[in-house]
Amino acid sequence: MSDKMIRGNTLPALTWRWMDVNDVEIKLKNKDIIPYTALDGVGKIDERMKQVFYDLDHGISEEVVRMNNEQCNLANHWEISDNKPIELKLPQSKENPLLVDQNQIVVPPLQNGTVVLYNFSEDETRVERNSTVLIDVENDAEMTLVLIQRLNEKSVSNVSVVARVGDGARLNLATVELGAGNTVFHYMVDMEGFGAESHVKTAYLGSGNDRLDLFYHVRHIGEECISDIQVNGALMDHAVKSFRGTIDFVEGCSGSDGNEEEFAILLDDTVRSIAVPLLLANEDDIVGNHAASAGQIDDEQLFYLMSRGLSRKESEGLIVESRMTPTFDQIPDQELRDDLRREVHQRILRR
Amino acid sequence: MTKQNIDLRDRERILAEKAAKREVLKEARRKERAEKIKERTYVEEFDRGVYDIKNPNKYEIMLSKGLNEEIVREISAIKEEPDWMLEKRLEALAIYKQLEDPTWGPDLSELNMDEIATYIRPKAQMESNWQEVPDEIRKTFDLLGIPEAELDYLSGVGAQYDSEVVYHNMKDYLSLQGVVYTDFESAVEEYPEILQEYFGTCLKPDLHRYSALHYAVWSGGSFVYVPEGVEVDIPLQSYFRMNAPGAGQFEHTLIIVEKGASLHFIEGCSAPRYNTINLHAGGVELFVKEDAKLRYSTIENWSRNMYNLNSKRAIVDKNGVIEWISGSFGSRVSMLYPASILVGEGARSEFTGISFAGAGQTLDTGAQVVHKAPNTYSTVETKSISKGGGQAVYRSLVQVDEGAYGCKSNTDCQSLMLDSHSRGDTIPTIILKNDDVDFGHEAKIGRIDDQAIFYLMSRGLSEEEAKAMIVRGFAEPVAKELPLEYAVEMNELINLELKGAIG
Repeated sequence: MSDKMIRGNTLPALTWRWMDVNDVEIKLKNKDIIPYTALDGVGKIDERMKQVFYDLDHGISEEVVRMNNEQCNLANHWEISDNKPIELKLPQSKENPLLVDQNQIVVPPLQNGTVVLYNFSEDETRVERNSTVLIDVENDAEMTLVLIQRLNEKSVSNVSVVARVGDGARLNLATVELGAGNTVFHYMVDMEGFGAESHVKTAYLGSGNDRLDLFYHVRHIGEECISDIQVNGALMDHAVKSFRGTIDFVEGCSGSDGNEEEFAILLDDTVRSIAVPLLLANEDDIVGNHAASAGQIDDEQLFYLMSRGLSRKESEGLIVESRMTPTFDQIPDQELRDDLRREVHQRILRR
Repeated sequence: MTKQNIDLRDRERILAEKAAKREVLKEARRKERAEKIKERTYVEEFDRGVYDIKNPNKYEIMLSKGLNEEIVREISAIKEEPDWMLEKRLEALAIYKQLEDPTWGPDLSELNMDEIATYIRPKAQMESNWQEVPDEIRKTFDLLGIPEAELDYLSGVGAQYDSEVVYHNMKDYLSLQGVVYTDFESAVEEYPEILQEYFGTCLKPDLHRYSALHYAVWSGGSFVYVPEGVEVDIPLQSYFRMNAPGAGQFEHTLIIVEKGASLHFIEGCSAPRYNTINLHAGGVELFVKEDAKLRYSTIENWSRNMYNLNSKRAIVDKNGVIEWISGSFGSRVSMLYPASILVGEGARSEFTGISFAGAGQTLDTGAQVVHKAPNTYSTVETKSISKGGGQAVYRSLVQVDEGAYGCKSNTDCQSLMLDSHSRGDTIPTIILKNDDVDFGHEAKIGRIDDQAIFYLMSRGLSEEEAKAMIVRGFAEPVAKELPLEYAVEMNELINLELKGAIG
């Protein structure tokens, strides 16, 4: 087993080397091929789809995708045919220390699909996950993908989402990152169709020594595409978060509109927040905006809540939770939604 | 027929209807958009007037092209430098050899150091009277309006022609107050203690490859020293002109503004157009002491064969203020990111910049701010315009270090694109290492708002006038920070650049 360092999530336009924000180190260590016993895969993986999608984008990195192919222990292929949400619970524990899942979602024209992938730790074992999700949203279809990650703090989570959106189609992505000491997330979408849309909402909470790398690359290719990225979260203890989002206006995407917004609440002196919000434009008939802001919780909000009798921590919890609500609202399961809310609240209270 | 089949047939019908509707819509929307963006014609090459006037390439000494230890020693010998300076040069050369070109940003592969002469001494001595400057060189500066400006609104002027300073003068009342404004070679001779203390400490040779190159072959530039409490009320200006083709200009500017003092320094640069590649790798080191204030303005209008790889850095002490005004118009490739290192509590940095990238240009510019002390403030406001296939990149860094509490930072960058072949990218990086910060960043990218054009046209302006007015309005926040005469020059440059792009 070689310990060669793998790097991934490379920025589409590089910047100063010394800042070390061009890419990120991947901490996947487990090279063994071991089965995942918690559940069985659905459907048959379409090899052609894999090839087509990896030609568009190689996910976190070619090496990570190669490992995903070699070690795959759970494969799912869904072709959405009714509008019922698909919910998959992906527990990891001492019995299942490695989850290498491949997921393919095809949403045929006019269909409306929802898939929830919920990955969590059942015990305190260090586990690893290397996941790929390929999504093909065909013309006039709509897809909502919800990714929830609650691994324990020793664990490593790597997820690559690569998507393609057709004419008049829409892809909603909601991601909730509440766990894993090392989280690397990759999202890349090609909006090929006329009037295609991509909407991303992310909520995260980093604590302890968590390292979060949240990477988004939204490409406007078709005319009049609409995209937005909203990333909201809070950092405490020694957590490090790096948000690296790119909206890429390819020549010919006239009439497109892209927005990205990042808001980080910093709860401790020792946190580190990095943001690299890129706008790349090769087309003039577009509107691109990005806004990033970071800081402590607004005193006035805090004062208001505390004047209503809440403790300081409870007020903080409430405010952080409220920033995550737009993301949580995408989760169809009420019980899970409440559960996540509770956890965010608890973790801030316990601090 | 089963129910499923009917559903299937229905779906096909709905899909076909949708697709047909979409085609109609697509066409209609395309037409609409096309009407909004009327055909524009481009003039790729235009006369840049006085900036393009070439003088015959007469020189006293021109070192052979390329870079090696011999050449570095020769430059040092020609300048009759002290040993410590030669050592610095050789150290920098060694660093240069180790470092690689950046892996990011514009392509520098065309830049071949073997084709560039690093030192060219013009046929002129340094004078403090314009009449003494050789005719041809004086004529160039006359046309650029430098002597006239000196009379009207500057308190001192330095003029560099290729590698050497040909003119340096400052109003008497300032030297009586102890202000020093001189060319860099004289400074090395006259103020060795100050230079040994400050030279190369703010902008270090190992910062990047071209900063190492700069330290190895630097020549010319200005040294300014403003003593404690002295307020220099009228700006000083250095003008850098490169005349020789296939050459490099590596001037070093070092400014020290002591406690409670203030200064406005203006830097102007231009060169005529040649078909060979020229390189400008200047170095600017600014030291702003406690309660001092320095405004550093640059209007850079290099010709389109210039690689402008300039490095600028300021260290700001307690309650000091650095203000950068930066206009980038010329050059083929620019990589310029003035850095403010805020080391004293309450230090402030304000950056206002504009860049205008036309055909064949890649202007990769921006700003860096490092908050190292508590309660420091920074603002960055930039505008970039690209047209005719030009690339305007805004690249920046805002970093707030551990323990730098109560910092405020605000960035606002806007990119305006005048056509769809151009590129307008923003690549900001934000690194926050403590929680007590108030940080905001905003960026916008897009084309001129049609409603604004329509509004102006309804008030009787032609479309071209309306567009030019909007672009000037876009540049206004930068223009208003410049002395009037420079704002006029900048507007003229914008008009020159816009010629052909609009209308």
